Amino acid sequence: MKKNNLQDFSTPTRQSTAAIIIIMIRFFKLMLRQFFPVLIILFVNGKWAKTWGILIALAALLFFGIIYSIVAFFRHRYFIKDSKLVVTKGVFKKTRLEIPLDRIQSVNFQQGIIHQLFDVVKLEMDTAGSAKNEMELYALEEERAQQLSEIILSHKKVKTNSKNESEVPSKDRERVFTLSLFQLFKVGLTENHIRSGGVILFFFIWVFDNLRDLGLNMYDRMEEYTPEAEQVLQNLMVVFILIVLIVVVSLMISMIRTVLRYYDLNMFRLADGFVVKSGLLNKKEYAAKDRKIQMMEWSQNLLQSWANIYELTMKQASSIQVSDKKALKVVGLTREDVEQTGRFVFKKLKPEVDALKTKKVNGYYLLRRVLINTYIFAPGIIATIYLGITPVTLLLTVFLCFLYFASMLRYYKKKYAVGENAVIVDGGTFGRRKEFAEIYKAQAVEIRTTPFQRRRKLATLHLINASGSVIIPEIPFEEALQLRDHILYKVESAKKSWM
Amino acid sequence: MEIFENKNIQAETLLQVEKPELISLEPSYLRVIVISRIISVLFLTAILIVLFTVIDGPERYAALLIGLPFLILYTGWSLLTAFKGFKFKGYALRERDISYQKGWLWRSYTTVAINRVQHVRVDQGFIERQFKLARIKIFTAGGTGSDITIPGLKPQTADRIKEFIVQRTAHDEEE
Repeated sequence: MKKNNLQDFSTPTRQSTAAIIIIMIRFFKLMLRQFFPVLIILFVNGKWAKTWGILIALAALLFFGIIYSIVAFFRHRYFIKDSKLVVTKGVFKKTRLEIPLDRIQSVNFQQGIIHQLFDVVKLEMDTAGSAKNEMELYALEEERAQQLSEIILSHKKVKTNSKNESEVPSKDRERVFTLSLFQLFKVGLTENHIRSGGVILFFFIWVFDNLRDLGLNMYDRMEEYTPEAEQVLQNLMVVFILIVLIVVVSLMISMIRTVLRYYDLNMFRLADGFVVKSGLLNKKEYAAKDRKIQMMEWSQNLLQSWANIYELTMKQASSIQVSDKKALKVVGLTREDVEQTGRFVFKKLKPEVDALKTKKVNGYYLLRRVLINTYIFAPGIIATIYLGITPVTLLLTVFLCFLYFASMLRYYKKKYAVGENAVIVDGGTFGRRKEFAEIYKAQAVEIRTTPFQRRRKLATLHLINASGSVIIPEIPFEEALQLRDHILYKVESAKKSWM
Repeated sequence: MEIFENKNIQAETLLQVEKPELISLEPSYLRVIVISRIISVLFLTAILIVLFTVIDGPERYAALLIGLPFLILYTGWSLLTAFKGFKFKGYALRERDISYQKGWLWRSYTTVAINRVQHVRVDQGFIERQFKLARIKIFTAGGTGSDITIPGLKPQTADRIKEFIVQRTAHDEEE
């Protein structure tokens, strides 16, 4: 193997030998997933130890898996030819994949534990228009991977450079943001715990159900052994302990998930894009080109606003199914980091964005929510008053007031600004959100009206780009038309590539 | 320069967009809508009938009691929106974008920039074919948010629009 500098990609090459192990693990994982139900049945029946056949089958499978992985490794070759990345592979059936380099949208690096052990990386190549990553190279030496991705991405740059991007391509990464341990801790604490809680709750229910299936009905047991008064108390205790347990475990899960995902998070600025790197056991590196980034979003939920940290999400062109994967997320930003990243994100637009004055949307935005909430709850409240169930009445009223309050917060936070080249929409209810999109990247504009809006001469404007839409609600109809014409003009006269 | 040329076209055609003097769909498309709605009503009716026959005991009347008003409401509503909504369906083709409006109560007016179009397809459903109509589907990158479908066109018109869009996008790419 050659050392350093320019490696040869023109001749068919095998992956790093570590790929054998990685292919093997993938194979067994797949098998396990496929045969999981069968295994469970065998295990529950308790027959499996007695049957030699199964043990033999397992051994055969193991043997086959090893052979398969080795053959797969030797059959798998990749190289670059005529500006195409070519992969030939296949154990039983030979396949040859060819992807033109300029169709590759982005190259992502991943390192699981095994990858880290052997100092190799997995490459995922994204091509436009498909929900799946079309091509994966399981294990390449880091050096080679780095160079391959540079070749692929620079190929792209040559093409766009001829147009109007005059920035000097450089390999230097400028560090934009590093997540400190303390901030990481904050991020873990302020995660959306409801999600983790949901997972736990689901798990408990699942365990409980399974126990009952096995004939262990907890409730029956309890009823058998305890007198009634004690039983009520005990049930309350159980509920209380469960709640505390769920809260604690949710917190822990959020924390663990956060650390696993965001440990050692770094955001870099490249000549024409961003790279975000993070992860404890499974290191991931995501890259996004400026051209590809359709929308930026800074946000914080309620907890995060107390901790004074923000999240930055960069959305790339994608179909809905993969949007989560293709969004680059940076967490634990301080106020200054937001400023700092903004400078990198807006670039030339920075003066324009700073000069933008955000406007409030029409008050109907608030009124509509208040009316809808009232229509939903008023009948219930009136009915409970009539029936004389005071506690329920109180509960409903308090909840309604809470919704009014939320609507008000939402209204006061909803602001928008449309400049020459950029759109900004602020929002949020208890938290806060700021969306930013460049106008020329829009693909379509939609003006929506309801009968109520038409009566008030209002409209809702959707600016739709390849990663979703920016919505400006409840603005004067005339203004919506003007904005649409401005956006369309910007889009239709744009010569820059937008994706 | 190109940009200025575009602006002229815009200024001239903007009016058309502001006061939506849309091109209406072929009148026979209304029949296509009505027929397909009737089919879905029939389908629901069939479900109700099956429910009524399968369930026995007094619950079957309960099913009928809930199902029938729902069915009547649904029928009324879907026919009403079919007729009322048809008036508001229409499209506008400009040199650099194509728009489609729909909706009687909840109205939307979507404009797709032609230089953002990824591909175009002309489709013809079974009922549409009986009425010699076609629909044009315009796809953009990413999700489906910015894709539009314009139904109720003569096949020749649909093909011509498709040709036009394809030519425009090819033209854009050359530059």
